Amino acid sequence: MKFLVGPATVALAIPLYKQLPMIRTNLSAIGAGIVCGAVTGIVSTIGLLKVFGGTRITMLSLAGKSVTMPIALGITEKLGGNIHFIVFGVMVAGTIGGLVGPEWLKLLGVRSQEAMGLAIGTAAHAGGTARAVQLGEVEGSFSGVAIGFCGLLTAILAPWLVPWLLRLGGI
Amino acid sequence: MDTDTDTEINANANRSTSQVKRLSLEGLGIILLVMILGEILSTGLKLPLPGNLVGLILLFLVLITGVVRLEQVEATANLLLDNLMLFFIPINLGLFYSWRDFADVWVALLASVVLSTLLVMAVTAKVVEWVEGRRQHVE
Repeated sequence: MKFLVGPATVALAIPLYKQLPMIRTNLSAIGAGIVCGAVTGIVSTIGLLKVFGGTRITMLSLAGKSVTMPIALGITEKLGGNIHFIVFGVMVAGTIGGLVGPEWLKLLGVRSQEAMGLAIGTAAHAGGTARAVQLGEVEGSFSGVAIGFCGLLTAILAPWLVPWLLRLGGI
Repeated sequence: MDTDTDTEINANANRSTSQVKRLSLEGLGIILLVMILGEILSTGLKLPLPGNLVGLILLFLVLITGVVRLEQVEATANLLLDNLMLFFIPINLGLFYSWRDFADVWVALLASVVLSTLLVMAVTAKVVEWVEGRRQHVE
């Protein structure tokens, strides 16, 4: 299993490399957006699970639900969560981002194409990006870049942020 | 010898039509090698990142430094990424057999994921627009 997913994760470097000039010119917006998005993803998932009466194991499982499947599986494995929960979470996040992402952001008054793409890729990985690509080239490439960065960042943050949040919540 | 010829043919094919999605031995070899190196580094140096993510960063670095050219890995990487969902069929099928795990928590899971996804999109978009607005202001 791990051997199948590994090469696909490594391959995520290609879209990042190809978008390098674009990343350089928009570094501050991309950096700030994805850092805030990744932290919001982890914290809000745990918080909402507590509100809705989720068990401890669901909180250990779902921290990586915004990121692409191969990375999310690694995060859940590391935290000792349930693999089935994260598969479900990643699929639902991708579906929501692709289904209502652009409409939701327009409703909030978001006009910037870069913001639209980054938001969809950060929250809904490839599922959202498939839709972002249809919106336009800018949205598509920003969404694609967000998949890799948000994945990396969540993988770095989750292993210490999640146990800390659980302790904070007394769970 | 056969392998070498194959690699060469595929490499040529990739050069002429870079958009062709074809699994080249060269590309797959590089990606696997990078993945294994990442795994070794991750465990050897006790890095906080799993091996495949260290591999992602390594591949990015060898591309930037020009050790590996984009054409050498692009077709293979595209093939892997385009068919990503194929690798997850075994786990996705497992979902059907694990419905018992979900019995008590599925409402909490679904509600949390849906609301959190909407929240992440809102926060990310607003932060990006704020930074862009500030930057235009400065310029």
